Parts: sequence; C-alpha cells; structure tokens
Amino acid sequence: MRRDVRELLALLAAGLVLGLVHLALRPDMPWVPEPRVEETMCGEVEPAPAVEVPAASFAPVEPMSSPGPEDVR
Amino acid sequence: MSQVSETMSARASHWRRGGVWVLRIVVAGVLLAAAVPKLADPAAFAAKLPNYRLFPEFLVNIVATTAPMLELVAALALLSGRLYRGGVWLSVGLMAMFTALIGSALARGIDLDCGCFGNAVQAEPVGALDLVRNVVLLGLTVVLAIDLGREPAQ
Repeated sequence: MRRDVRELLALLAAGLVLGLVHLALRPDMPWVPEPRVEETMCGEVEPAPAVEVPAASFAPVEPMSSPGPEDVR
Repeated sequence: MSQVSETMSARASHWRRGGVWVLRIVVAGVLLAAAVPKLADPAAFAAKLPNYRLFPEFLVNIVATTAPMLELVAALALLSGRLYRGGVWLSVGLMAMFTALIGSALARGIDLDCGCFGNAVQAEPVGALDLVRNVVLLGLTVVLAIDLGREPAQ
C-alpha cells in the first residue's frame, strides 16, 4: 500500500512538473489568462456601448420648460 | 490430482494475465488518444474548460497543460510497467474525475463540448453516452486496481 502511494505521488509530481514546464514554454498561454470577453448567443463579441452614460449626479433636476396638460387646469 | 489442479491454476493465471494486459492496453490507448491532441494544442483545450463553470480563471491554463500530461504519464506507466501500481491508481483517479466532471455538467444541464479528446474529434455537446463511456472506462481501471491485490503483473 505504501508503495502504491509512493508511486502515485511520483507520477503526480512528474505530471504536474511536466505540465507546468509545458505551460511555461507556451508564450501564447499566460499563467493567468485575461478575463474572457462575453459573447452573444450567435458567438459574436458584444460591442462596447457607443455613448457613455453620464455618471449619476445629485444636482437638482431642472423643471420642464413647458407645463404638461395635467398641470394646465 | 494436485498436478491437475496446478495445471488448471496455471492456465487460469495465464488467462488472467492476458486479460490484464488487454485492459492495460485499452486504458493506456484511451489515455494516449486523449492526451496527445490536448498536448499538441493546449490553447484549444483551455478555451473549452471555462464552459464547465467549475475552474477559477487563474487555474484554466494550468489545468489545460497538467491534466493531459497526467494522462500521458499514466498511459506510459501502464504500458511500460514502470511505476505500474501508481499508474493504475492515477488512471482510476483521472477517470473518476472526468466522470464526475461530465456527470456534473449533465446534472446542471450545461450544453458543452467536453474536450475529452481535444480537437481530434468533432465538437459535440456532451451527452449520456459520454457519461456511460467514462463509467465503463472507470470500471476497467477499477478492475486493474483490484488485480493489484493479487500479484504484480509485469
């Protein structure tokens, strides 16, 4: 049983080391990959929004220039 | 009388060893067939791993290179007989892990290509047949592990 565990650990260590060396030899595969780009259902990359939404502000909202029909009574 | 039983016992042992060798070759062949395409193109395998929704992002590339290397190491151990006992247990572990991964994807209803054989086979959504195949392979490795308790097959 002890021999089984020893051999298993040796193979695990060999596989892990070789795998990490393989990863180190691949310049196209970084150790930590960049965050994935979300894709649509059709497999296309979702385009970034064209117009940026202005940040929320606590400034008082200006009143409408003309009164609505419910205000003219 | 004892000579007859000895002859029968020797014949049974001969057949058992033959069967074990067939199992070794089948399991090692499957592991090699799974490992080689993934080692040749680990980036393609890495692209499939996030679909399991189990691996944290920083582990994806590490798993994509180490898992096929473990498959290769296990296959070589089974074929060569060197570190054979460890190779059998590693095969059991790998098959159990792959079976659990596929079962988990099926249970969660995730429609993914398992990437089991890299790009060597056409991408198809994982299904019950893949789970059955993995359970059978797991069974074969378990038979090899049970045989370890008898006598070392060289």
